[in-house]
Amino acid sequence: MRLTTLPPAGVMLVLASLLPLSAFAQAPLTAPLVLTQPPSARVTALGGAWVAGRDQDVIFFNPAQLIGARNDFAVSFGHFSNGGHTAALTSSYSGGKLSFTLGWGVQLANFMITPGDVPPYSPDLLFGVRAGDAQSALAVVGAAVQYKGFKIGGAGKYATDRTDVNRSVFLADFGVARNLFGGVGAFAVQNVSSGEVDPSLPLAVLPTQISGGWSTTRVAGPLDLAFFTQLSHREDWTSPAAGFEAGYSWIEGYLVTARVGVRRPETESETPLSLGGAFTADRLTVEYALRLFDQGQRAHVVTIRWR
Amino acid sequence: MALNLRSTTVAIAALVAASCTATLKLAKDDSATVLARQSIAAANPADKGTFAVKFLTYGAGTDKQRSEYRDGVAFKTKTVDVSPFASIPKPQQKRRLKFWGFDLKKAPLNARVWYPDAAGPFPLVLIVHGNHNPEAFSDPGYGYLGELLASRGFILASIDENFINGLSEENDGRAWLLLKHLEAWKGFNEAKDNPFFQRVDMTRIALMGHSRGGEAAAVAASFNTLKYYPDDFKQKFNFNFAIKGVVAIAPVDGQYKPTGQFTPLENVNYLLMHGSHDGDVSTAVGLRQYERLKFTDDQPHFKSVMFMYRANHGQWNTTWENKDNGPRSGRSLDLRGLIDPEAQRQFARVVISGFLEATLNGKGEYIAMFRDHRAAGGWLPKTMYTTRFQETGYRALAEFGEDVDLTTGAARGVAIAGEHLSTWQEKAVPFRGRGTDTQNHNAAYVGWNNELAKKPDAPENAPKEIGPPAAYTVALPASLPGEWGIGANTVLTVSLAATTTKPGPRAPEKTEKEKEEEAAAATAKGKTPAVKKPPVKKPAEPKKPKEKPDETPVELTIEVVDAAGHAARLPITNYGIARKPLEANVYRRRGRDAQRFTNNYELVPQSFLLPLADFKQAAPDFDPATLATIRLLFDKTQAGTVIIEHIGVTTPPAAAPSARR
Repeated sequence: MRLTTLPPAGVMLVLASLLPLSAFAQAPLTAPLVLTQPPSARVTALGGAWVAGRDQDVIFFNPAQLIGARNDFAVSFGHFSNGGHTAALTSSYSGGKLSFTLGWGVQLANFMITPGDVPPYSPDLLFGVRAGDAQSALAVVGAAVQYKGFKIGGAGKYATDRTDVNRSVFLADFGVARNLFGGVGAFAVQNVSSGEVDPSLPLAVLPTQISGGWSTTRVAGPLDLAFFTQLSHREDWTSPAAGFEAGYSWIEGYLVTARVGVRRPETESETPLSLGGAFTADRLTVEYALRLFDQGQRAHVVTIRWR
Repeated sequence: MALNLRSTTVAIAALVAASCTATLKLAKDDSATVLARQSIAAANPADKGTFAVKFLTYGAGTDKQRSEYRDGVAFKTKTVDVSPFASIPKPQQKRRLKFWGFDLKKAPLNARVWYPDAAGPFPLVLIVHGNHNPEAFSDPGYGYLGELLASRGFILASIDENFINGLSEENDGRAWLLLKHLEAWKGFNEAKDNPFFQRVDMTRIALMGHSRGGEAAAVAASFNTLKYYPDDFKQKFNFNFAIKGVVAIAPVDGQYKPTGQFTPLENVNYLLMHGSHDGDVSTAVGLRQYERLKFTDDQPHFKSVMFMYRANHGQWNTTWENKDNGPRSGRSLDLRGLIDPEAQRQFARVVISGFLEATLNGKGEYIAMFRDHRAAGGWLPKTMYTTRFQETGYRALAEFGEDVDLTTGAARGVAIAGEHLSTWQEKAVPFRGRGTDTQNHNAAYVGWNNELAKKPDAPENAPKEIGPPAAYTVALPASLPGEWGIGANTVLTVSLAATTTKPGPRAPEKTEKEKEEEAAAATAKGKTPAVKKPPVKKPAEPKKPKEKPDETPVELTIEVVDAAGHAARLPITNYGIARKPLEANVYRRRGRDAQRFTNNYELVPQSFLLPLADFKQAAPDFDPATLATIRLLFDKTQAGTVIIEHIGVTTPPAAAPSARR
C-alpha cells in the first residue's frame, strides 16, 4: 500500500502522529494508573492507536467498535520488572438485532510505590524498585448496536488504585464509528465520571479524554496490511498514535504478523516506538509486543487469543 | 549459539509449515491406456474451422466501467427491468449504483460476440458466466470458445451479467436475462440495419452457463416453455425459442427453485461438465439436473455428463483461472493437483464444440464421445474422465426408487434377484459433501466376494476356495420386449460405479445334511430347559490393522439370455471403465477435506451402453427380440461393491436418426 493511496484524513493523522516524536514531555499524571496502559500485545505494538481498533480490546477504547470484532477470548500478561506486571482479559459476544454486540474486559496492573505515596501514580512505577506493593484494576462492560451505518456503543467502567488507601471510581465511555474513506472512522469520549466512589477522598485527576481515529485494511500481494491512527486529547495533553501491521498467511488458518507502532508516550522515560508480532494457528493466536524505555529497560507483553 | 537459535527457528518454522500442509494425493492415472485409441473418424471438433472470426460488442451503452459497453458498442440495445427476479440489498444499492451507473430496473443487455465472417445463417450460442467479484468482469473469459466456435460457424455471445454478481437468490434473474438476450437476437436478425440481419438461425439455439450461470441456462430452458413466471403470474412469459441444447459447466443446482421445487427440464440436449477438484462448487450438484431431465417427445435428444479428473471450477474461464476460493485461493486450495489450465480448456473445446456440432448441426458422429469418452481418446487431454449418457428411447428396467421391494424393477413385471451376494440394498446415492444432501435418487448397492470363508476346523494353510460367481439378475416379463420394441437396434444401458468397499469372504453354502442337523439342534434346544452356563472369558482378539480401501478396478460380465435360453456374454470393460472413485483432495490444509466432505471423491456412475447387436454377434443364437434376462455376473473381480444406478434399454424411436456407434 502506497502512502499516496491513503485518503487525506489518513495522511493527516499519520503526519500528526509523527510530529510530536521529539516532544518528550510527560503527560499530566492521572489515576487510576491502569487507565493509561494498553491492555494487550496487539494494542501495545500498534502504539495504543485503538479507538478505531478491530478486535475486542476496543472495549477499553471505543465500545462502538465492538461490532465486527471477532468473538475471541483473549488473555494478556505484561512484564515490566520484578515488581511491575499487567494483565488483561477480554471477550465479546454478538447476536440479536441491529448487530448487537456485548463486550467485557478486566485489566490489572501491579506496581511498586513508596509507602505513603498517594495517587495519581506515574506509569514509571511499573519499573519501580520501592518497597510497597500497589495494584490498579479496571473492569468494563460495554455494548454496541449498528443503526443506519453508524456503530454506536457505550461502556461502564469500574477502576481502582489499591494501595494503603483504596480509591475507586465509576466511569463511562461513549463511542461512535462508521465506514469512512475506505476504512473506519471512530470517535470516543473516554473516562467520563462524576467523582470517586468515596466522596471523602480527594478527587484524583482522571484521564478523561476525547479520541478520534481511523483504521483500514488492505491487501498487497500476499500480505494483509492494516493501518491504525488515533489522536487523543485530554487536559494539557494531546497524544497522536499510529500503528501498522503486515500479516502473511501461507496456508488457510496460519498467519504470521509483524507490527510497529508510534505514539507520544505518557512518560519521558518511554520511547515512542513499539514493536510486536503474532502467530496464528487456526483458532489460537499468540501475540508479543515490546515497549522500550530509557536505560535499556523493556516491557514485554504476551497475549493469547482463542477463537 | 545465535546460529543454533536461528537454525532451530527455521527448522521449527519449516516443520510447522510442512505439518499443516496435506500431502498431494492423486489417483493413479490410467489415461495412457484408457485414452490410447481414437475411434471417431470425424475431424477434431476443437480444431479451428474455416471461417474468419469477427468480434463486436453490443449493449445499452450505459456502462460506466467498460468502454466496450459504452461508446464501444457496435449497436445499442434497450435496457430491461430485472428487478422482479433479482434484488440488491439496501446497504449495497448506493455503492452499486455509483459503480455501474444503473440499477436493476435499467439492466443492460450487454454481450461480447464472436461470429463467422460470412453470410450465414448460423446457429446461435449464448454463454453466461456465474457468480464472481462483480468488479472483476467475467464475460471476457470465454473468448477461447468464441474464437473456436465462430471459426466453425457458430455465433457465440458471452453475456454480461456482472451487475448481478454478488447478489443472492438471483438465478431466476440470470435465466430471464438470457431469454431477454434471445429476444434481442430475434430483433437483430430481423433489423435491416443490424450487422446480424438474416445471419442468425433462430431455429438452432444453445444456452451455456458456468457455475450459477450453469443453473441459469437450465432454468432459462425451463422458463422458455412457460406462460408465466412460476413465482408470480404477473410476469408473463412468451419466449418459446428453439433451444436445442444446454451446456452446464460446473453448475450449481437448487439456488433457484421454481415454486419450491428443483427446476424441471424436458426435451433438450444437455451436457454437464464438472471437475473433481472444484474448489467452489465442490459437490457436482449438476448431477441432479442431469437426472431430472426427461425426454418425452420422441425427438432425438441426449444428455451427458463429462466428469473430468483434476479440473477445477475456474479454469474454464480465463478470468477466473485457479481462484475458486477468491484471490487468496492458494492459501486454502491445493492448487498442486490441478490440471494445466490450457488442458482444461482444451477439454472444453472438444466436448462443447462436439456437443454443439451434434445438437445444432446434426453431426451425430460426435455423440460417440459422450457415450464412451474413450472414443475421443486422441482428442482429450490426458487425465481421467467418467461419462454418463442417456438418450431418447431409454426405458428403465430398474431404477431402485419406485418402491421398497428389492426384487421389483421400474417396469411392471420386471423381477430382480441376487445370487451369492454379500450385500444388496437400495439407498440414496450420496454427494461428496457433508450433510444429508443426496443426488436425489436411489441405487442398488451390491457387494460380493467369491472367495469362500474357511471352515473353523480348516487348517491354516488350506488353499483358498472360490465359489460360483455372484450375480445380479434383472428378469423381463415375456411380453415386455414386444411392447417396447426391443430388437437388434436396442442398446442395453447400465450405469454403475465401483466403490472402495470390499466384503469379506463368503460363508460357504450349507449342505442339506448340515441344514438338517442345525434344525434338529434348534428344536432340541427349544425343548430342553435352559441351563445357565458359567461365562467363559474370550481371549482378546488381536487388533486388526486398519483396512485399506479397495482400489482394484472392477471388471464384470454382462450376460443376456433370450426366451429360448440362448445366452450371450460380454465384458463390461469393452464399453467403459468401472473405476474405483477418483480421490480428489480440494483443500491444502491437512484434514480440511475430511472436515468438509463425507468422501474425498464424488460418486459419479459410469454409463455403459451395450448394443444387443454386439451380443448377437458374440452368440448368433441369441435373439434380442425375446430378451428375457440381463445378468451382471461378478466373475472377473473376486470381491467388490458396486452401485448400480440404472439398468435399462434404449431403442431409438423410428423418427430419431440412429447415431449409435
